[in-house]
Amino acid sequence: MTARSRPKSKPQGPADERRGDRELVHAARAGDTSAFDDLFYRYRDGIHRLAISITKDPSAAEEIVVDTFVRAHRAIERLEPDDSLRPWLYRVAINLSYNRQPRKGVTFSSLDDGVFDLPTQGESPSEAAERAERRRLVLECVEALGPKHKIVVVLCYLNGLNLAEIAEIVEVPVGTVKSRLHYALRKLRVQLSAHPGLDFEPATLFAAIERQMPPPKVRKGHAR
Amino acid sequence: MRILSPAPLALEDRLLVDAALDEAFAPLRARSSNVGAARVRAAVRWTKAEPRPVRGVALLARIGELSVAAVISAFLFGSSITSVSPVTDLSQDTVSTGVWMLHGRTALQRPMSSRVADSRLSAGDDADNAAIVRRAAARQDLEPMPTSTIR
Repeated sequence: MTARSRPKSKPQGPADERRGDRELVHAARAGDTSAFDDLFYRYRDGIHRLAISITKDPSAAEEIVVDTFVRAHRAIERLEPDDSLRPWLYRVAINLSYNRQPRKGVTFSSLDDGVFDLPTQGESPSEAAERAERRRLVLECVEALGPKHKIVVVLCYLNGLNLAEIAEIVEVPVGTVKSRLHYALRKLRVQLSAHPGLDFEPATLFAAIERQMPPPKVRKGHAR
Repeated sequence: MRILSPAPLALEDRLLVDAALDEAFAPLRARSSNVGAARVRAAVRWTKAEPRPVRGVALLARIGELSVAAVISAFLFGSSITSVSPVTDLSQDTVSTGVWMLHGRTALQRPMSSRVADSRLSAGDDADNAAIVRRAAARQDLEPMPTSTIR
């Protein structure tokens, strides 16, 4: 897997970086509102991205962010995070996102709103259009995945979580996460190779399948 | 069979898909939320549960309601019991006067439905029987039967 850039979070001071989730939770439990605010700004963007990837509704994603932290505030007395509060928060956000009914008459076509389709420096408009088209096709393929596989891909590639963190959020063993991710990538590979505009050649995939097939067994009696 | 298991993804294919997904999700990764912590605080304050003193007051009020309901129920039950007038037992009165026969039957054998109809007759019967007892006592040849034997 290539090195992915970790999602940006709100810039925090050195004091905030020193304080882990456990300390912040204990401080918030003692009535320190700034500690709860630190927790909020630490995980706000990740939860917002996760919610918007599921609901595809920016305003619903904001409501899900608020609802998630309201639940965290209610449950702050019984929360005992070992290292990180993130799995608990992400799990609540995923459940809220899936339970939210879509608004009637409002459809959101894609995860991307097209803001980033403008050409960057040193890029021609045609190259920017190609890049935007390629991104749109990839996101459509991700949308076509089943919910179990899509959430693993989103958590891995959008939120930058590792397999153990994903397993804790989705509440399945790490092996299951690996299997789902592998299945999703294979399916994406096949779907992307079906698009002629993309640079995905199916030859390598079929070669891999052929390599996996066992060689035909030759019986001793027929080997003359 | 191994051929039915998911085929492994070649490294170059894996890298291609990785790069495509990274590029596709890059704008979303750069996105940030505009929600502030004040909105969460307002929502928490809005949905905050009632404080404990109010809960205690509500509990006391509930106990008061229940005690008033219990008193009213007890009063209604007691008044319904005391309003029923006791039915006079004619056979007991008759027996206590020393008369044990009414038209050839003992007093205790009279059916309950005939009590009201027999009340007028029993008054005359009482008088007749008392006269019989008095005459027998005057002749002193017959001792009056003790009432305890009837009971």
